[in-house]
Amino acid sequence: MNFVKQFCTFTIILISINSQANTGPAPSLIVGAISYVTHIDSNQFDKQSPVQSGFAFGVEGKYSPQHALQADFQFLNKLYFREDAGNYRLQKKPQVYINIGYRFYLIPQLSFGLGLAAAYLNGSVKDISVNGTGASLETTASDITNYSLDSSIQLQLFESNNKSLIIDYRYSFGFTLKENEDLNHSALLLAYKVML
Amino acid sequence: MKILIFSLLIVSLVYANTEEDKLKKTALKPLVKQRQEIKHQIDSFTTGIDQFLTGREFSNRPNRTKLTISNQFNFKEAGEVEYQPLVNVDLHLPNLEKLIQVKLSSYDVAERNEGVDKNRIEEKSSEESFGTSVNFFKEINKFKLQFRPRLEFSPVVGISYLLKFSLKQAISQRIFFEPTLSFLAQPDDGTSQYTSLNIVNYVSRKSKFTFINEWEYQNIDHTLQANNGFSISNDYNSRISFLHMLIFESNNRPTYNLDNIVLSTGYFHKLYKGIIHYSLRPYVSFAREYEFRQKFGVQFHLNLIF
Repeated sequence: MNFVKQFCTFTIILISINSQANTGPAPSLIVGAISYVTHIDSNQFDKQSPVQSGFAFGVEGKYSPQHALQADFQFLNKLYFREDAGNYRLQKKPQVYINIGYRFYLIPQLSFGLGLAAAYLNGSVKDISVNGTGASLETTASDITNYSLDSSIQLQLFESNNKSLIIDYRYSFGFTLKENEDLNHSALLLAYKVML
Repeated sequence: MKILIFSLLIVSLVYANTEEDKLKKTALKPLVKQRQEIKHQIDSFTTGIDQFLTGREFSNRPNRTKLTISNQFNFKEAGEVEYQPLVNVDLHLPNLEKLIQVKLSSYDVAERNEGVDKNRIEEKSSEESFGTSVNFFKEINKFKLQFRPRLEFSPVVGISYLLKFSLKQAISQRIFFEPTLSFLAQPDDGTSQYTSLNIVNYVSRKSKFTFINEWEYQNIDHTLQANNGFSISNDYNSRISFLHMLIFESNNRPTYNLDNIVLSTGYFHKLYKGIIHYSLRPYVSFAREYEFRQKFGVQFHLNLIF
């Protein structure tokens, strides 16, 4: 609850500071860095899942004064975890994560997005940690493509001359996962946005 | 001998063209009438979609929606005749035209038109893959940008993407440098990059010579495929055109080497412009698989357009 309060306070302060900015949805290019972490919920695997980082770029197209279409490309090395009867397997999949969807601007500084994402294998899958007979467990990492739903909250930190700095919190909910598998991830995108 | 037969066949087709007007008035008349009825229904349907999506009144611009039924016949020496029917719909929505072109197709357009296979005459047939795609086009200075997500329905539901940058830079009055860089992501093949550095010499208003250099790299299995060669295309008249190609195909399996040499000639005929088009492409290939021994083949495509 404390985190929620802090987040709301932070958001209100930023919006107040930024209240002169009036960009909203506009055809724009987004380039930035992304940090992400896979949520692993297991009694067997007691290590912390590491926070990783990658590169992202995307575009946004205005549909109406409050609505926009967005597409972005993220280059990730995401972790996939699966366990069964005390055995587990943790794998890393290099991937191009492409998300395309819709964005709603509540106010010019604050928007919410919902998209469909596809993660395409972009190299070779590696085993990070295997326990017992876990090597026989197949994770979604070995699939060439897997799909997820992406939700996001985007906040504009600063705006000047059609250029802005944004921070975007994302949660990816995978729906092509296998039994007892964890692959959902959270990500924080810090990006530079240029109106085209 | 075989080349002579193919050549005679092409020459006879050119002369057969003079009989075209008679054909239009007789054999094709019922087909044309039926085609107009189907076309009218397609246009009404697409206009409805356009109005629903944009909430705007009907545009005065003509509807260019096209439904193409393509019949492809491939024959290769010592092989069987392969037949593949394909359906392609170019859905035109006048009110959304400035931003979006929507395409519906029964084959993977990216694989056919954006990779090295587009210049490979005897490559694998298009895998049946029903789907729908949306094309976004944007021009930034001299660069043309295309982004195309495609939803596929067979064999399982999947999404493929294409991001393409292209440029047309004049070297002289008639010679142009036309590089392309495409990023492809496909549900079955993962990600790949396609690069082409083609030089096109517009010899005359009707003829052009293209020096072809293109590569495609697949990230999953680290395979590189390349095409080097040239093509000569010539428009004989508004309905007949020719395309002659010599392509040296290479790949990096097991190491980078020449894999095939293909010499082809193509005869393209719009028998009834915008309604019935066909093409005949005889070729001879020298593949490494057959120790570079010659193999003849021919492709015949018949397109019915509504």
